[in-house]
Amino acid sequence: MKQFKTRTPPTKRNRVVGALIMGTALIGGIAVVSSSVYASLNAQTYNTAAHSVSTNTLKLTMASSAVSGLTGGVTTAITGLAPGDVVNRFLELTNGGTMAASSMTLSLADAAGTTLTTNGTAGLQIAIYECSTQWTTVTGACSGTSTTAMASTTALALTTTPATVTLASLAAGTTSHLRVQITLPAGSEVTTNGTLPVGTVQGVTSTLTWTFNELQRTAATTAAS
Amino acid sequence: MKKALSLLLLLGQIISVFLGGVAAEASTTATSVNSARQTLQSGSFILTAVATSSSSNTKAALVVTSVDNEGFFYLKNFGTEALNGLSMTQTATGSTIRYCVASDFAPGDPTNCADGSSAISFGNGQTMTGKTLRTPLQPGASYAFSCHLSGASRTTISVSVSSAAITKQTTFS
Repeated sequence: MKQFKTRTPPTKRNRVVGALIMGTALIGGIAVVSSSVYASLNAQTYNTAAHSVSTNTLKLTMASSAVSGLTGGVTTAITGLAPGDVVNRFLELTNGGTMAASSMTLSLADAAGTTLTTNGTAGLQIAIYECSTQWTTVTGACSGTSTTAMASTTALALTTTPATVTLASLAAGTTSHLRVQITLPAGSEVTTNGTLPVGTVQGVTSTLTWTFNELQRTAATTAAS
Repeated sequence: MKKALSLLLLLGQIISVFLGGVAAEASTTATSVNSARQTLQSGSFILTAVATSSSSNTKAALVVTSVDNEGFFYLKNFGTEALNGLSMTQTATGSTIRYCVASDFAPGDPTNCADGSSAISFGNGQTMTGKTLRTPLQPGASYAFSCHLSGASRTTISVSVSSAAITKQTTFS
């Protein structure tokens, strides 16, 4: 005999559970629909070989000349300099980086601050000459082409403002052969009865720091190459 | 209010341009400094009239007193440079100055040197300017001088040297 199940009315608890199930389903549905709305296509490309980007270097070094008899440079002491004396020292200035330079300058500092560097008239005067080849031993002559890199400038001026040094080339790897001419002007000092005049340039000792400075070449903007 | 806002915006633009300019001018520099400071010492030319060859620098004129009209003194180089010449003044008139190179005078003899040579005439005026020494006076050395006084018992000797009395040197090192 066939039996029939009788459907009993839902209880209050069943109604609450049902409502929760329906709510959850509704929220899930909305979420799925929303994500579908914002989805999009994406495409990428990249270089197949790494793109190398490297920078240049800017290096400046100075060394005493290696020519026999001309190795004093600007580190070996100078003594007994009298008015009218001229001392020539020889330097190798190298732009040793990979980048060309510009705007070479020279400045001077005197830790002692004597009349040699504080008196613009009676004090030291500096000039720099460049030779296209090494300077000749003993005589300091230039067998190549000699040019004035820096006209005679007072030490006083060099201690306050760097002076321009015009070299034949500031290309990377270039070495400039320089003759630094240090002159104590003849002046007109008179010593009377064993007493030095006031403000004398005699019997004083300066301690000099020579500084060469260069800037990088002009920054360049290049087209695709 | 609107005007103040405009000014504020203008100020911002000015600062922006200024900073942009600074950034554009920045560049790399390279410096080379001598590895050791260079000492540069000047010489000196210091000459004084002194009573003996071993005297120290008195830094003053010398009063020379005569004995039998003859006075003796020395000029000594207290500097570091050889001296080719000098200037001299004396207070006495009619006084004859002589000197010996690298030798004293013969005892009591103002005209002859101890080495047998004749004394060299220097001058006889009150002012003797730009006199050249027969042989440069080396640093630390002295030359003997005599003065023959007539009509005076003493004379005051004053000496001076100028940079012109120094031999200029040009060196390559």
